[in-house]
Amino acid sequence: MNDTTDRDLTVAGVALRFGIVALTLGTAYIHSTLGGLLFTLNATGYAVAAIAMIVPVALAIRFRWIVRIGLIGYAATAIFMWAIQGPYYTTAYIAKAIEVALIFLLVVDFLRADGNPVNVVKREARAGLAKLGRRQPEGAAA
Amino acid sequence: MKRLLATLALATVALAAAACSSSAATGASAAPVTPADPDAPAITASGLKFDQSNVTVPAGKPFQLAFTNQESAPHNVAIYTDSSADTNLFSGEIFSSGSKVYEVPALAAGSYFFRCDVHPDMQGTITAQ
Repeated sequence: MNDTTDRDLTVAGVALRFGIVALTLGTAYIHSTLGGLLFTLNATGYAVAAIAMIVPVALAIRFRWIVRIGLIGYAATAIFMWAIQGPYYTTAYIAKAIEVALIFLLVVDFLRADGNPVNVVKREARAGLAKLGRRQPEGAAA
Repeated sequence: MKRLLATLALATVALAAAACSSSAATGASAAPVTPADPDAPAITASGLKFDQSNVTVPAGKPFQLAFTNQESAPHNVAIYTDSSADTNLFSGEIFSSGSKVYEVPALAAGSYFFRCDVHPDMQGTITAQ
C-alpha cells in the first residue's frame, strides 16, 4: 500500500481530506437529528468512518483504502435505501446531496492515494496469499 | 487540479453549512395552530410515538387534521389505504417542533392506515364514518 500518499500534506491533499471529513460529519449530524435507532446507528457509522479517515494510527493508515471503499459503499447504500423508501423532503435531499458529493471526493481520494482499485485489490490479495503461504507448516504445501 | 479542489472545498463548506441549518429549515410554527373546525381530529407526536393509534374522521368530505410535533425529530402524518403503505392518499408536510393544520381530501367510509413517513414505526388507524 502507498503509505506516503496517505500522508499527503499538499494543499490539495489536505483540502480533499478536510472535505471528506466535513461531508461525513455533516451527514452524520443530519442523521443524528432525525431520531430513532436506525438513524442514530447511521449517524454513528458515519462518525466512526470520519475518524477512521484521519486517525494517525499505523493500522488505520495501512488499511485506509478499505475505509474509503467501505465509506463509498455505506453512502451508496444509504442513497439507494432512501431512493426506494423515502421520505422525500428538504432535509433528506440535502443529506443525499452531501452523500453524493462525499462519494465523489472519496473516489478522487482513492485514485490519488491508491490508484486503480482493481490493482489495489489484486495487490492486497497477493499479499494476503503470500502471508498465508508463509504461515503454513512445513510439508503442508505438498 | 488545485482550482478544482478549492472549488470542491468551498462546495463542501456550503453543504456542511446547509446540513447544520437544515433542522431550522424544516421547523414549523412554534405556536399551536388552531384549526377552523373546532371538531377537527388532532394528533400529537412525542417520544417517537403518536399520542393515539385510532382517529375517527367524517367520511365523504374534506377535513382538517391538527398535527403537533413536540420534539426536534421531524415527523408528519401520511394516510395510506392499508398497512402495506403502497397507495398513498395524503402526505402531510414533514416538520420539526411545531404545529400545522393539514387539509386532508375526502376519504370514503372505511378504515385507513396512517404513519409518520420518517419513522414508519409510528402508525395508527384512521376510520372514516
